[in-house]
Order: sequence, then structure tokens, then C-alpha cells
Amino acid sequence: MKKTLRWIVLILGLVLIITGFIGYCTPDISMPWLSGDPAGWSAWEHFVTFIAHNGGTLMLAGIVVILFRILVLPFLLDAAGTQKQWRVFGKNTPLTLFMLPGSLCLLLFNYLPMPGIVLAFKTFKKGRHGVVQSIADSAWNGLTGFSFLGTETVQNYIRNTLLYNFCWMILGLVVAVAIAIALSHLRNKKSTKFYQTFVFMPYFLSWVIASYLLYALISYDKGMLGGVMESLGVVKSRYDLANLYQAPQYWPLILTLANQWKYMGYNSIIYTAAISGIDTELYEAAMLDGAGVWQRIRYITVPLLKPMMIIMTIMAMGRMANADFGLFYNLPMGSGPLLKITGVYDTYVFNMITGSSTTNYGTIAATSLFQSVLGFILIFTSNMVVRKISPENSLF
Amino acid sequence: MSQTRSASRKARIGNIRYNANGQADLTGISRGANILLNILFVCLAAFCVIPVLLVIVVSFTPENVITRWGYSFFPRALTLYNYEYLFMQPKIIGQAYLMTIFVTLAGTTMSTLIICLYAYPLSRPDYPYRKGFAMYMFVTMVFGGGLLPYFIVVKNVLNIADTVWCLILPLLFNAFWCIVMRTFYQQSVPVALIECARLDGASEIRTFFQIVLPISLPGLATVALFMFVTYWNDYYQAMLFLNAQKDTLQTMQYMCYRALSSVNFLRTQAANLGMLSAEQLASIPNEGYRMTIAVVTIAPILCIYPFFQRYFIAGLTVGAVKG
Repeated sequence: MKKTLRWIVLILGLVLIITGFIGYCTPDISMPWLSGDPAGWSAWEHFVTFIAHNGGTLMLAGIVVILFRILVLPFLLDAAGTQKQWRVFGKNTPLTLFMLPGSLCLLLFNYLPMPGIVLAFKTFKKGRHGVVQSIADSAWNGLTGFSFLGTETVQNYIRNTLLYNFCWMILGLVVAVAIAIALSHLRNKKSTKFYQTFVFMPYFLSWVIASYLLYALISYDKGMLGGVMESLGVVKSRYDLANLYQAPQYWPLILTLANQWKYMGYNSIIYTAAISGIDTELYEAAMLDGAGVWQRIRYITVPLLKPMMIIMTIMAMGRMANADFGLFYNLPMGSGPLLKITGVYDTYVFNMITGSSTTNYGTIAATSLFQSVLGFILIFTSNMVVRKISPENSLF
Repeated sequence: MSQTRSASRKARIGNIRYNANGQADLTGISRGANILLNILFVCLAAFCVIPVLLVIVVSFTPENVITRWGYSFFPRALTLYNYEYLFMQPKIIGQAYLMTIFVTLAGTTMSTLIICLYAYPLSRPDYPYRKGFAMYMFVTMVFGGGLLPYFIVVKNVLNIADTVWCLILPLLFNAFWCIVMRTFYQQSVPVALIECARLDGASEIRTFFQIVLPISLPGLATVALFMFVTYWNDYYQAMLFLNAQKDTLQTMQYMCYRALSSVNFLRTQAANLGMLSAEQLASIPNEGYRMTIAVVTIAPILCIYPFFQRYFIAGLTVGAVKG
């Protein structure tokens, strides 16, 4: 009896999802009676029209039913088991209460936005009853919101995002490991701490402040770069120098330097810690056998750092869909000519949200959904790889 | 061969040199290489510090010198006028500074407490819903609704745009630091200790606040410091949710952002406050003053950083183990 009920609810959910999906994919053109008078429609025609026009809603209802089947139904059906569960629950109430504030934060700022994904599949039309009701009332429009992916600008943004992140992932790894190894070879351990302090410091300055620093260095008529070049005699006057905020060809270099400036200290800390954890007897033994500096680095340090390097790289790969917003938004200071080089996905979405009316909400949501899904796939695959290599370092 | 050489200099076996105290020098690089390495690191440190120093120097440079000679490390003249002006007209940045301090203190306190509370049951092997809550947290690290739905939720559903809460609440929970904190509990609080407290009749709440938290103070300090930096440096929430026409809520970082993006921002700001005559407005030192504001903004971070650096490093090292 209980088993039958479970099956019925499950099948109901699946049927709703499948019907919804079919309706969702049914274009109006395949329903010739639509142009006629609704009073003259047959029952079947009414039914098909209803499903075709409410496909998305039906799919959502199906998902809710399935969730009900998984989360609530077992408790309702198994009374004795439920009683035991409640006893366990009661015993752990204090600890569960500890979880409450954090869970609430996650619910409000991470889970509540998730249903907003439906916007990507709708044509947003602002109604009289607030934005949320408007979203519910707006018509489904299938995948037309994703047509932006075909535009050259967006392809350029996606390319920039992935390419910068990929290059910096590799560069960051090399620089961080090099710094960590070099630090460990300094003879005076006090100076190790001293240098680390300076190299780590930029991590604590925001990109807004970094944009001030960059501005002071390279701004057109007043920047220090111009003054230095003038006094060195490279250029006759600092006004002869190109305005770097209008010259996109220099910006890959500037952005790379800025990225390394901020993150190299931060990245190297983990490797420094890993090196200090290496057993010194290994080095001692190697040196007794006459191994030189390079041989020790190559045959002891690097192989022992390798697992950490692999994990860090894979983690970075998981974050590749998300660009560092401040770096791309604040440093170029919104300069138009640089947009082709410095524009990334995150700044594009941000500009669309803060700058536009509510009319193209659908496109914006589709844009961010695309990024979310890309990020999800990247994180999920990279985490799966990490779990294969070293389970204790995997995220989940 | 090496034996004979070592007799003339220091003790040396294989490639290992021993210093006067008989300790092995395992870095094993020559004096020359060491000097070269030091020079390299001085350059690297300079690369990191010079831009900050430049901005500090510029904040002491008079306006006319900047206009004529540009930003320079060795300005033709130095002045305290920018700072005097800052204190003569405290209204311009006073409000924003107080706002930053309030947001930072309130946010840091609340978020540290929330993170520590959430991480504790996750570290307890006998808590039955551990896996569920961990999954609840991990999902948010992996998948998000995107910026627009988030924007709509904060602005239209929770209705907290243009209030202090939009600067504090969204940053309260941080999954990464929650994982760090959980690992910290697991490493520093023995299960037996909690067991003992229970046998002695302490409630969970008492156990947590009187036994677990005092033991994990270094971890707590790390989380608190990082949240402090996060709140102090945040301008993204302000950019998203604050109405640019309303200046009362802006924080220092947001003000810095606006001051750099429009040249006359500070003058407009002063004019809006309605306390200056036209010629007073024209005499506001713009270029140097902007840099002064930036310096004042980063000063607290730069001041606390050297003292708490080891906490930052310790926290990151724990975080690397898991997460």
C-alpha cells in the first residue's frame, strides 16, 4: 500500500515534468486552431493549448512533487521510524540551533536567488504587482534568451575571461612555486619572514585602491612613468608618451602584472608551508650524497610539492568561468577603447544590470545562467579529478 | 679532496656546510647566490610596495606641483595641506569613515560568530545532520543563481537596497572560512574533552562558549581578521545597491571609487554639503586630496597587517589542507 503510494507520487512527478517539457517545446504554429474562436475548440484542443502555454509551470510543479516524494513523504508514511527520528532530532536541538543563523544567510542570499534562473527562459514584462509577480506572470520564450551567445561581443568576453584565467593559472603556479622555493633557500631565516611580509601585503588592498596606484603610475599627463622616462631621456617630454588608458595593446601586460602583484604572495604561502613541512633529513641525505642545489630542487622539493600543485591548479580550473571583477572593472576605469581587451563576462553582466532598464532582464539572466552552468561544470569535473587523485583534498 | 678543503674553512661533509654552532646549513647555496637571491627579493618587494609608497608621497605633494610636474617620488615640495584640509572639513569624509567603521565592526562580529557557530557542529562526528548541512553549504560554493536574480532578491524581495543592511548581510556567511574553521576545530579540540564536559553536565551551549571557543581562539582570530579585511575592502555591494544620489550610506572604498571615476566628485560632494563658498570650492586640492583619501582608507589595514600577518598565514595554511 505504502509502496504503491510512493510509486504513484513518483510517476506523477515524472509525468508532469515530461508533459511540461513537451508543452514547453511546442510552438504555437503547430496548433492551427489558435487563430479560431476558443469557444469552438474541442476538449483535446483546449488541453493541448493549456499544456503548450504552461509548459514551464508544469515542469516546476513536477520538480516540487519529486522533492515532496524525497523529502516529506517518507516521514509521513513511516510513523514509528519518524518517532525515532524526532527523538534524535530533539537530542541534537542545541547543535541544530547553532546552524540556524548560517543556514538563514545561505537561504536568503544563495538559495533564494536560484529560482530566479527561470528568468533566463522568459520574456520579462513588468507588471503592476512588483518584480517577483512580474517574473511569474511573464511568458515563457524557450531558448531565445540565449541568442546573445551568437554575438561577437559576448564571444569576445567569454574568450577574454577564459584566456586570462587560463594564462594566469599557469603563470601564478610557476611564480608562486618559484617564490616559495627561493624563500626557502635564503640563508637568513629572518629575511624570509621580512620579504614574505612585503610580497603578501598587496593581497589586503582592494582593487579600488589598486586602481589609484595604477593611476598614479601610468596616467597620461601626471603619471610617474612619464616623469621617469622623461628624466631618463627615453622620451623628450612626458606628453609625448601615449595615453595608456587609450592604448589597448599594453593592457594584457598591465593586467597580468596587476594580477601577479596582488596574488603572488598569497599563492606562494601554501607552497611555503608545504616546503617547511618537508623532512629535512631528505635534504641532508641528498647533500651527503653530493646533490647540488638544482638537483635537490628537482628531485626532492618539486616532486614533494607536486600533489599540492596539481590540486591548486585543478581548483583554479574550477574557478575559470569567474573573472576577478575588480581587476577588470576598476583598473581600466571604464575606458571605452580598452573594452575589447579588458572586457570580461562579469563586468559585462554588471554593466547590463546597473546600467539598463528592466526590459532585457531575460537576456541578462540568460547571460549569468550560462556563466553559472559553465562554472558548475568546471568545478564539478575538477572536483571529481581531485577526488581521484587525493580524496582528502576534494571539496565534496 | 673536500676533506682537505674543509679543514681550512668550515666543517664540511659531502655538500653540507656546518656553521660555528655545528648546525647543518641545509639551504646549501653559496654566498654569492644568496646575495643574488636577496637582490631579487628586494626587487620583488619593491614591486609590491613602490605603488603604495608613491600614493603616500603624492598625498603630501602640493596641488600646483602635481599639476606642473606630475606624480613623483621626489616632489619639488612637500606639504601637509591635504591632511590639514581633511581635518578642517571633516564632513566630507567623516560620514563615510564612520559608516565604514560601523559596517566593518558590525559585520565582522556577526559573521565571525555565525561562521564559528556553523562550523562547530560540522566538526562533531556525533552530530547526525553533519553531512546534510555540509552539503547545504557546498551546493552554494558550486552553483549560484547568477548576479541578476541575486540583485532582484536583495533589492525587491528582501527590500534592503539603500540601507546599511545591504552592505552587511550579503557578506555574513563565507563557506571557505567555515571549512577552515571546521578543520581547525577538528585539529585543536579533542573529542574526549567534549565528552568530559558532557559527563560533567555542561550543556552544549556552555561547552561551546566556555571550552571549545577559548581553545580555538587562534582560528577565531584568523576568521575575524579576514572578515575585517573583507568588510573594510568591500565596495561591490555598495556599487550594486547604493543609490549614487544618496551619499549618507557610502563607505570609504565606494567613495574612493567614485572620486577616481569623476574628476570633480569631491568638489560636488563638498558643494552638496552646502558649507563652502564658490572660491573655497575652487581651492579644494583635487589630485592630492584624492590620494590622501586613498591613504586614509588603507591606513588601518596597513597598520594592523604586520602584527596579524602570522594569523593570516596560519589560517591560509589550515585552509589549504581542506578546501
